[in-house]
Amino acid sequence: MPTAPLQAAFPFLLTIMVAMPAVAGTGRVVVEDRLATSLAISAGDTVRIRLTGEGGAGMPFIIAGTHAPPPDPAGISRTSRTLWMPLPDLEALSDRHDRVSRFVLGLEPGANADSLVTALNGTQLGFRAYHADDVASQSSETFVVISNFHKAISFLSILAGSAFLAAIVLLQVQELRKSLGVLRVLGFSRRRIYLSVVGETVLLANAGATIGVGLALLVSRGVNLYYRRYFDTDLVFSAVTGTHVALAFGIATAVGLVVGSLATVYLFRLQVNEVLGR
Amino acid sequence: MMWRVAIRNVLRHRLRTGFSVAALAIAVALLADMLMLSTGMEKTFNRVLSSVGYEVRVCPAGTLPFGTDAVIAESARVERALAGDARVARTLRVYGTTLYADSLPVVAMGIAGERQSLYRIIEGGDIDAASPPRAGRVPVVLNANAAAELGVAVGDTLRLEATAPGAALAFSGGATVLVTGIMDIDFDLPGQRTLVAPLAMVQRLRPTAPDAASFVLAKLRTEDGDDPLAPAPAADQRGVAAGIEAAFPELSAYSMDALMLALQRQLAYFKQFATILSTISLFITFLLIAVLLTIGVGERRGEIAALRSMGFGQRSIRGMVLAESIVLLAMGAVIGAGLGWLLAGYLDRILTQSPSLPDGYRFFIPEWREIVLAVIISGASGIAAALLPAIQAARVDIPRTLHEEVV
Repeated sequence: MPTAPLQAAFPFLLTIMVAMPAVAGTGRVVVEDRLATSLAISAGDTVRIRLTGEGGAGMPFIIAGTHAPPPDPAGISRTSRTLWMPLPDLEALSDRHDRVSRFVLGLEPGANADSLVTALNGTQLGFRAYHADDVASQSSETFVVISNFHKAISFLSILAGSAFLAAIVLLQVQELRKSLGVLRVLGFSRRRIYLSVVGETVLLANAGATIGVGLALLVSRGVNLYYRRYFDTDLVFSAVTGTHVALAFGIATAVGLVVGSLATVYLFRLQVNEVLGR
Repeated sequence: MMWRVAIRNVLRHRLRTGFSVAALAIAVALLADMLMLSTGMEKTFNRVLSSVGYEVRVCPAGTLPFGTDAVIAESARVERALAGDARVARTLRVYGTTLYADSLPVVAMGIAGERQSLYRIIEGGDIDAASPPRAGRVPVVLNANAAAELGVAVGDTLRLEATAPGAALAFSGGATVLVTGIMDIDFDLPGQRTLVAPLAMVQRLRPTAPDAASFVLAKLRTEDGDDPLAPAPAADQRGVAAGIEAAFPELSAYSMDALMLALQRQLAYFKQFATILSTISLFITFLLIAVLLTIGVGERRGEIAALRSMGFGQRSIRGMVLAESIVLLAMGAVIGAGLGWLLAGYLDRILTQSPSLPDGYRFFIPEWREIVLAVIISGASGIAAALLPAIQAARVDIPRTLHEEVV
């Protein structure tokens, strides 16, 4: 008989046992879809549930339906599965009465949540009230930290990319110095040469950014495919948005401008005769 | 000779070399940091698990220690089963919950077992040492945070309640406890107030299930009986864990390696991130050296042809180009090693700001081993990248190149 540990709505670990005969007048439960899949149970089936660690046959429940919890990054590594049942049934099952882990309050439209939180916390009845936004903010703190880590790595990547581009552009400028020298002798202004070199550098940087964005789209798709399967979730792990694309091209253009200007300054420091190789 | 030429060639264009070395240094530093990231968390987990001194952990099935509020009911039967195994030296039952000491919530751990190594007493005595309890007061030990925030010292008393002060009016049943010692425990969260008390008292204050325990720890016998933290052979650990799981299907028992494996899931993201970024760093090193040397060799074809016409062999030319790559890589490695070391600290500080991380948890543990490994791998990648331009340089068509360059 397949069994599975479950995390109940308040701190009880339950064991579910399937393929039991139906019993009239039993309670109804809703099970997490992944649990239903792993135990091959569906709506209408009868299961027996008992507290983990306790003997006996447990209590029979009918599967009323399955539920797919919304993707939650905070619970990504959770291995336990969840089921929902009426509180009186859980009280009967656990023999613990009039006890809950938390209350969730829905307010009337226009009600001031902050003042209610303040009033509830002022009662000093042994609980703590939180605004939903505060709970969300606290639970997302880890992801803010990871985002900062990603930003630091991105900054390093930009630095490495900029140094790479600068080295290549300087190489190019040195390779092209003869033709550029001829242009100067023919009367091309510094401004025109500057625009030519900077334009080429910006173009090169943006060509790199185009390939980079293409790679990012591919990698992002791969990351989502892999981690969604790995964690069995519908969460979006990686997203390349319009802002990211604009940022990539913006940074490429800025880096191209700076590096191109630097290369041109370096080129203009060479004397015409030196540039012509004489 | 070739080394001298190579160094001269590299230093001839200082600005270009400066940028190349900067890019290489960042690539080496990133690789070193990613190697540290891929091993740092495992090292931290290993250190914490080893420091506790118990090799086998028994939890409700499918859970990890401190992973849920689920409990093992009638935990004494698990303790008895473990004690019946000749490989087990001692056990410790632990029941973790939140209690209120005076007005503040504290993480309370009820324990039962002898010669515990879960925490270290740094002042006063352990709860076992306080015998007999004075005036019926139950002995407890606190961590330094709890002692400071509750304003108590060894010898003081506290009132413990299962619920917050307001609720205590409605639900009776607290306990007056005597602080017998201050302890240090490895996996406290930053700022966490921790209290350790006898299991029976915590069970009485928080009666979730008969004789409840969050988990049961077992220390196995070792050949080195003098060292309480010396780990038992892995085979023994696995054997004891398998025996418990066979006897209690509703429980999960973890040996050290099984627990590390279970934790891998939580580490997967960072390990894979480290692998991807390491690969990118190596690719950047390869690409940079390949591009720089290919363009550089193309730029100096005339010079190379002249050297060949003066009698320098293909091998010497190849050696010169490879030596250039080694000089660039060496400069990048020296700066990259220092940068990697500094960056590891910086990146670790970013990640350890994450909430719910125990004190002392590290993502990056700077070690020379990872730095040296990064230098070796980057060096190999750079030299591989230099091979093609080196071969191209050695095969230069002397008469044609000299003709083109002169005319």
